[in-house]
Amino acid sequence: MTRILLADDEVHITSLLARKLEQNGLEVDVAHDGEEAWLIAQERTPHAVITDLQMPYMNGVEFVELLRANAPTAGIPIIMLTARGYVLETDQADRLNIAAVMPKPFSVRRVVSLLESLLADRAGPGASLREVA
Amino acid sequence: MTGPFQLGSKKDPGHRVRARCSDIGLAVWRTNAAGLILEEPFGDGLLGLWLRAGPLGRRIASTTSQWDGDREPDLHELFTGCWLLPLAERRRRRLVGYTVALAFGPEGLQQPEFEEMCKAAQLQSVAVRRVMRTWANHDKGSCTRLLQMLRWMYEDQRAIAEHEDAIETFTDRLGNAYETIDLLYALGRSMNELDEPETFLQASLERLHEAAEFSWAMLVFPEGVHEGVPTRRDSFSAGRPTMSFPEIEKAARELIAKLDRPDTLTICSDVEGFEPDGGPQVVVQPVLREQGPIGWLLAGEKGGNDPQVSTYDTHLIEAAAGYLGPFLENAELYREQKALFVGMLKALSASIDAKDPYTCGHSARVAHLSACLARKIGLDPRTVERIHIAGLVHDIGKIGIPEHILGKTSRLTDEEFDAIKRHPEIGYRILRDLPQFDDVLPTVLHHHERWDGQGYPKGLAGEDIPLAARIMALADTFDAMSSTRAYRPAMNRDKVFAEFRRCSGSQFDPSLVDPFLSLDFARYDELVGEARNLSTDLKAA
Repeated sequence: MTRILLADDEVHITSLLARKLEQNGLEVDVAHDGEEAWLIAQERTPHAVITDLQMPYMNGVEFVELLRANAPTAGIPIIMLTARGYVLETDQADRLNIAAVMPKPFSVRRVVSLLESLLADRAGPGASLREVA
Repeated sequence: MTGPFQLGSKKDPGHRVRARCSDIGLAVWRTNAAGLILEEPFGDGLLGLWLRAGPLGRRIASTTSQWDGDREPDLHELFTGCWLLPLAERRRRRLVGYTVALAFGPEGLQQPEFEEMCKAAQLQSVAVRRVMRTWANHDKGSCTRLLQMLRWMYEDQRAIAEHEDAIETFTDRLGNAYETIDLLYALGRSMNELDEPETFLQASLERLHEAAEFSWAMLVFPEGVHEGVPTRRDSFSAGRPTMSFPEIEKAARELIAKLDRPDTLTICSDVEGFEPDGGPQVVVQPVLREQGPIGWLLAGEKGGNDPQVSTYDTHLIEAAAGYLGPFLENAELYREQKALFVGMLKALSASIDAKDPYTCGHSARVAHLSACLARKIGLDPRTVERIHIAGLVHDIGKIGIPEHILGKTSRLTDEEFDAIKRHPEIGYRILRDLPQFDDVLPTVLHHHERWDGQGYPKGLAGEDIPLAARIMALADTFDAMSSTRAYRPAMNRDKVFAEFRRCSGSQFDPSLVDPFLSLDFARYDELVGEARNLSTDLKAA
């Protein structure tokens, strides 16, 4: 079963996404901060990650840096969520091979369909940044 | 600890309680509200056979059937050392059935009833007793406490299930709200893109289709009526419907024509012409302007969990239409204003050109050729448009040059030539107070500069000359050479081309000459013809 790791300190976001992803037949692990996310990622080796940018203990960028430096998760698709107004530096998103940056509030349907297409083509390293706004 | 009974798992609190009972080794039955047994305990081997054997089931059923409607039946001793623990299950205060747990004490296994049941089930009581001994450790007191625990657990599970339900509902609503916000945000942000209304309309439909669970969304305008609508297209559509879009459009027009209230949102069911089987529901929402509907937004073939159109769906469509109405109005006003603006410029430039019978239509042709060249070298549509406008006004300064100099057939004196050379600066001064021409001013001022720096008024050279002015220099010179002038006849095209190649790098930016000479001059030649006719008409008048 395809495992998705969802990391966001806002519980309404994780409930929302987890419900939709589960409805689409994906297995979802939820983390509430970057540190917990990193622990789960090492234990579970998710097939894809959706992570918030601003989280306590460890932010999204630091978390993704760890994922990229860790062989089993180095190439998995990653979608990053951000608060509106906060723009991730383009080179940062490129460097970390982040497939898409979605400003909140986002269309859940688009996140889910984007994730499914990323999983379908498993582009891995080299996937281009898609700014979805 | 895994007990001998496994029950099917459902989200219902009764199921959760039964699963836990079987986990701790309690056999459970489920009955309906009338006490009729619906579910027996699962279980492998001897124990399972014994639990499901007729005699035990019949004894339980004869007791449960007496509870019929009892909202809280008591602990019931089936026979000495064997108790039934009845748990009334409710949904929204209505009794829906009972979960019945069976508990044995050690003395229960010694009773004649037990022996009887084993015999009737054709099982050896010694063997059954051995299997059951480990969990036949209850007495009346423990059963009473256990029943109380089950009742609390059931209540807790019921509350949890209700909360989960509520959270799921909230979550779905939140998801819908996010879709709505996202859609409106996207529409709102694109509202100012009045230049390309068709792109906006198409994108709006795609976004609406994404946000709503309809298989298709369509925007239709009255067929062939383009008045007050900034597009020539009759419809826009998005999605993946069962039918083709032309079929939907046809059915949609018939539906709209039959609406009682075409100026308000209507949910139509079983509409003729829509597949599958009439739709089953089609939402029609007018796109309104002050004077009434100018188009209709439709959506149909709803997917998702609920095929019924919900208030969320209608809100979303209404909100999208709420944006489309003002957008269409603004885009149309913008289009009209732009047309008026360009029309005024054309009239103005034509009146300047008319000062000199030999330059009739010159500005329009220069504008045309400049825009073609700008497009050819890959400039963006907005820049092309601005270069076109610059072309229309590039010679506006000639308004300040006496007509006898402009129309002079003999050689110009140095003073006269100097006067002519002042027209770019005069044009610049005429236009500089109009903010709408800020970006056009450098083109007007520098269209007589040369690549080698020998032009006027500033003697700029190379890339110091603005690109638009370099483009215009080619168009302007081409039209001058190709037209008859007061002081010389027109040159034929081959000769003009040869002259252009010769002057590449001296008079003209060398990188522009080839693209210019590869332009299609058909429309230009038409413009020449139109100007000639006009000029003849003027002379006749």
